[in-house]
Amino acid sequence: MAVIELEHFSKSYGKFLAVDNINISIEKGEIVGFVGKNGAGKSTTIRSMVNMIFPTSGKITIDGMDSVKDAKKLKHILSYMPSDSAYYENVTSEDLFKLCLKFSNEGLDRAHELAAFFELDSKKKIAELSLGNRKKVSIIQALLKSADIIIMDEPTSGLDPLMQSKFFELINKEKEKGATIFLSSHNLSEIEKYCDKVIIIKDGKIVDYFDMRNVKIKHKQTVSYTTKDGTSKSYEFYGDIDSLVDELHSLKLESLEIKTNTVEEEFIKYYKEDATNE
Amino acid sequence: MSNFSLGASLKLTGFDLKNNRRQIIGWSIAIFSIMFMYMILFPSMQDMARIKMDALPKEFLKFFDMQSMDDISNFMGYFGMVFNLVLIAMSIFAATFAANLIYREEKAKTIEFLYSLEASRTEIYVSKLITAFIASLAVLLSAAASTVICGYANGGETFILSDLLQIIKISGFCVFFFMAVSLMLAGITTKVGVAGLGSMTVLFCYVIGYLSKLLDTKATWLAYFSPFELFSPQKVLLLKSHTLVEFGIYLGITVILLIVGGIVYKRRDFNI
Repeated sequence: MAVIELEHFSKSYGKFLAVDNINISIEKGEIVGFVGKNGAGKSTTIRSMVNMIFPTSGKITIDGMDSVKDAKKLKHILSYMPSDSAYYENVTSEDLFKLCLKFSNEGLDRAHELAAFFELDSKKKIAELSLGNRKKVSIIQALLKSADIIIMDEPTSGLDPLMQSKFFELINKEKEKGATIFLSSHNLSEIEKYCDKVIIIKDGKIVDYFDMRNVKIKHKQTVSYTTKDGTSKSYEFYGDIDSLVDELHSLKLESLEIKTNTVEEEFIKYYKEDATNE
Repeated sequence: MSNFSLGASLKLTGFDLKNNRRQIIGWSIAIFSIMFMYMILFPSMQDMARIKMDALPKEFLKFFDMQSMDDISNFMGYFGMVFNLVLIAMSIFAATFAANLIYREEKAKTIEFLYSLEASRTEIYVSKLITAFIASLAVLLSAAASTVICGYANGGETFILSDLLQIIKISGFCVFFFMAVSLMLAGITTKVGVAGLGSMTVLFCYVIGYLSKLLDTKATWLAYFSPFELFSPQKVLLLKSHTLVEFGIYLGITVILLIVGGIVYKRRDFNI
């Protein structure tokens, strides 16, 4: 059953169309990676999901509730982590956690536990924290309450590799508890490793979609071969692997290489397409 | 489930007040000191002002909302003159403070944190309104407290507490009116510098009021666009029935401004 559903969602800023008629469906308990270069429309989509901005057209439904009409009701089951870890400079992160906890029924112990896990000194003022530590504040804030749906905009940017790994460890625990997680990121290897699905957005449109659990079949493969008569060919193949085997079987091959493209390669390919077009 | 809970707004107000306490305390101390400095020197300033201001043109006296030197011969008249000017400073504070409560959240993107909490847009807007009201009230009360101290110290028989409270209530309303103007502007948009716009509105209204006095019978209608003129301490002390009607109308406008700001704030994109 889909818990997050975007139907024909578009968002314009004046004449600029930031997101163009996209459809996304996310099942309960999945970790979904949302990938795209800067300005592709990731944050616009995420901010619309949490009602920071309003859709120009289309509909966003989360757990059967409308993201606009039921915005407040949604907040009971949803946790949101913004991409910019922007906080009030003259307060401590503990002050922020206390404010968050006033709105949920969790105790301060949970905040201390998460701060210890991420090695964050919560008594320090925000102004004294580095970018990485501010990011930790954002992550802790989002994970303070037990939410059914967690939406995170670039949660790992600015974190060192150890903290990134700790972050995904926590995210996996949330998944085990039954949470659905939707996150955007540029960390493609981690996305590939931890996400069940990956959605690629480019120029406001969904350009690719991968189900990582079925990746070998769904995924594109680069097939390169040379036949005994000297013919070389290289092409991309996706579909039923048996048909590929049949096709190759009919050839007299001298060399063959089949390489499964990683998400990272797929993504970088979209960048390259842009560079070529430019 | 209701989209509004006063409890949620109050939680945010507590945080906002804590976050802005330095600014509120700083302004309260500054206004207290300015009023104290003027009012404690009432007897000597009175003599000095008589000598110096007698030489000034009538237009200049009108700027201070005075008809003659007799106006400053008593404590309440002198307070009215000083308060009239301090009211501009307090209104500018209220306008900029209220606008920045919303504007800075979006400019610094802290609204993303605030809106990630279990609070609706209406609750956030109301929390800003309560915070701005408390800050404006604190500054206004600091002016009143300073005057009360000086009144008992050197006001003699001409210091009348009930008159002072009347002025604080009715003339002091200007502060809340301009707070509402700015809150409405910030509720509508944060794409322009609403704090500056709010301050300009304050100064514009003061100038309009001054012009209405300067042009006398030719443009008395201009006064209706200036709460400074309509609710000047001198008029409040006379307290004619039309002043109360005008007060009621301005109170109604203030409520409408706040509601309009709230409705647009609820329906617009955050400027992030």
